[in-house]
Amino acid sequence: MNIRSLLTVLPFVLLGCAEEADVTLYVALDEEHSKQIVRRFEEETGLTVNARFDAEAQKTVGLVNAIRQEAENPRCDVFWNNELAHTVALGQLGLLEPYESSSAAGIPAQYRSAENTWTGFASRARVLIVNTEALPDRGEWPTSVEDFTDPKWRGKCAVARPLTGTTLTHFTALRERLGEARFEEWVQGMIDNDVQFLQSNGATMRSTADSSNEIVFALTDTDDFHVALSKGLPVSCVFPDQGEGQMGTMLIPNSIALIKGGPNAENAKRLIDFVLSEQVEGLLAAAKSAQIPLRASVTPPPSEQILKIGSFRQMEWDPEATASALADRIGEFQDRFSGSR
Amino acid sequence: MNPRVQSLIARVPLLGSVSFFVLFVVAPIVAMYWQTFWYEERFTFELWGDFLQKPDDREAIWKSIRMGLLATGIAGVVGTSLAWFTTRTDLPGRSIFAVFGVAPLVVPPIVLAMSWSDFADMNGFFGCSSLLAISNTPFVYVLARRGLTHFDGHAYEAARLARGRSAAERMLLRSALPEIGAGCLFAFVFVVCEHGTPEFLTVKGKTWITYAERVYGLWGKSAIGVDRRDLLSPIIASLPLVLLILTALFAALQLRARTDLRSDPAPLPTRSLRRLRPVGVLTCVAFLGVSLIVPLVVMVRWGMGSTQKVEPMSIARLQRSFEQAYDQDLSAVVNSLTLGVFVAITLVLFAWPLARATARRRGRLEGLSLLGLAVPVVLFGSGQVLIWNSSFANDVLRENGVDLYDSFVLVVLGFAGRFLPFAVLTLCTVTRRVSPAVDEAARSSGRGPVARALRLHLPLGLPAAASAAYLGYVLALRELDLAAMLPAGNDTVVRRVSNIVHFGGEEPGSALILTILLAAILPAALHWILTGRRMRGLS
Repeated sequence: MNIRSLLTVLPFVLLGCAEEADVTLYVALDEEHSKQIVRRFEEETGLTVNARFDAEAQKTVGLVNAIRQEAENPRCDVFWNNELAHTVALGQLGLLEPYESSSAAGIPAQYRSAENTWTGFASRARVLIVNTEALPDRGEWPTSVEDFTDPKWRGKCAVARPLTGTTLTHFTALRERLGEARFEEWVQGMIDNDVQFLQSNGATMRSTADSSNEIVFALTDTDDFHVALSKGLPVSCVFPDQGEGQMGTMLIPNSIALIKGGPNAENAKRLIDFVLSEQVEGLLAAAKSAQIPLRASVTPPPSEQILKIGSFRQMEWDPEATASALADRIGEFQDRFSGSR
Repeated sequence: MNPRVQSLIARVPLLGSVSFFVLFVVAPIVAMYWQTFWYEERFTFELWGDFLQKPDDREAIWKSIRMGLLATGIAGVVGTSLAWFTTRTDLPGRSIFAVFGVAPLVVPPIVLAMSWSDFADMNGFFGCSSLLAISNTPFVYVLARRGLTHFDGHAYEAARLARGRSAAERMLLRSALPEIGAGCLFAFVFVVCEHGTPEFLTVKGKTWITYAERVYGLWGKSAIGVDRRDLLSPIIASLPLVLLILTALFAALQLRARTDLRSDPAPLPTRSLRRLRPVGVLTCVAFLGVSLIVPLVVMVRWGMGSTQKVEPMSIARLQRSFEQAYDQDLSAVVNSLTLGVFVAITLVLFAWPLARATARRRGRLEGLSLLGLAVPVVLFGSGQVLIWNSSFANDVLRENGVDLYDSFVLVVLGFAGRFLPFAVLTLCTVTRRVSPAVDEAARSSGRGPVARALRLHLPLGLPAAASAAYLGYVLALRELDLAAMLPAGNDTVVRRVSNIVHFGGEEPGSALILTILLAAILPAALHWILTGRRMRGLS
């Protein structure tokens, strides 16, 4: 947008009299990646989109809280989340409208709501990022999330605090899968092993990529790993728990949903169809965030280190059960990881 | 003109300001807390049953207080020293250092934290307290300067002749103490409010959390909570913080009310630093370095590509960073600047009548105006959503073609409500200095309220209004949470920077930060260059 056009629309925007958009989209995926998709939709359909983005500092919570607060008078038509659990939670609260998109064909049933209230696409994997200067020998690399409790790595590994975002979802899903006792043992093992609990996955990535730091590996998302890789930093990634009998690597997809009572339902459905298309999944795979397509037919991210769907063992997890448990877990994790001890 | 009509006209600005205050500050906050008492169509204290029952809550408050006290102590010592060096001594370059004493205000605390984390791996409780102290030193510095410069030089000379220099200095210090104390209390308030910096500076084995972080965490939990208790827990939990902040702010006001506000004190004699001169210069340079130069250097280095290893750092890379930033985010830059300007104007328009009313012995208004600052910003923003997207607001406004909730106007008014105390306090100080006799004389000579406002109060209050507007402009440029909560405030530079940097875009992110720093400094610099004077009346 140039300055002249901004100045032209400014008085109208100030007065709250701007022409209403054809569809309102709340997007938690970073603006850098989602804006181009929105623009393409506008070009292809001629519809205008009022896109509201989240601040990374609020980690999806800002938009989810907005949708909940606006529930009486919904403003949002479509919610595009960069993870799954909060979307599922909105569905469980009855704030989402069922919609079965024709574009969702081919997306595994595990990542689609049984009631069609939400659909997953374009995912991130929870991987181990390794500093290749500190650990040049691939044979020494950690291979499992269990390695965080290995005394060999005492004080040398990091995890984001599981209070928000994908780490919260990951830890909640792990607790559902491992059971309380085993999960508790694993968490206590990490604490005893001096694992550093940092602010975010970005922080764990930065700590690992900095060779002057004592951290040699960390748990992060593939998009954070890919950022470090594209900057030429000395890192590599491991899809954990790929051995026989191990639980596999967790995938956390983006999700999209139609908001119940949103003012532009028909246009909203067109937008959902567009975002769920193979074309958009391909664009997100090719972007800097290197999202892993959930459909094998879509071209995967160019980096060989980010594995293609079907070429690695996935962790099985139940989004509905995980979302149901989130509210309880976040309280526990807040006490555990940020409270006074 | 009929005296009754004149009287009515004279009250219009105050009525407008009070209406604004009620609608955009009081109503959102009251509505928010009301929810915690109104459950299933009945009034109840049920949700307050767990209030402060958790040991972690009490520990977090205590941690906030300790961090606040440590940071305030540092800010008090540094700010008072700077004020003393730049007002009372023959320090070389003191007029330059005097300007840079307020410099940290233009650097968002989170940028200072990011810079020091990168520059010296700053972290931990002490690191966090120190950075917050530096960010908030200007409050102490400005008020300490005010205290020191408003002491009558004749009184000082008399004390010196009668009882010696030490006694005169002690008297001066006693006189300035209320202002220094008020500055410290303002710094304390901002330290205990801040959640971003303590969260950012998380380190290995972090075993502490501030109360502001805890409230913010509960707000996060409310996004997935199903139980009503979860949803309203951040509001209930915020009360101790609100009370702590209000107490500190009221104490600051009480202290300031004890200051003798002479508008024309005889200047104090300047003291020669002699052997202490290097210490003075070093103190000022160190403060400048810590608060401004390090962030600037780190941001320039980021822009030149220090965070990547694909190509070497270079000026060309810095240029590309700016090109990339403006190519992608010019709209955010324009939005932020527009927001800053409109907030500045709105703030002064609404604060001036309140300040005048406060100066006319309606002192409670000054205290009330602090309300917007006392509530954690995520809750202040939630209150705005609650009120302006309510069914009532929709029926009244939206049905008549005005969608305030989705408009830029709400962002401007919300910001203005948040920053109102600064403008009221700044304008109040100046308005109190205008003798009621002057207004009475103008009235006796037949001047109406409009003429008196335009020809008497406007010229006298203009410097303070400019300072208040500038402060509002700078604070609007650096505000993140409130902008992200109001729909039309979504596209601002600070929000973009927080996202870009997270996704490894330090290069364009630093270009945006440098742009905002420049935009924040520019009005003051222009004023200084064009008039040769610093902005006055920030106190």
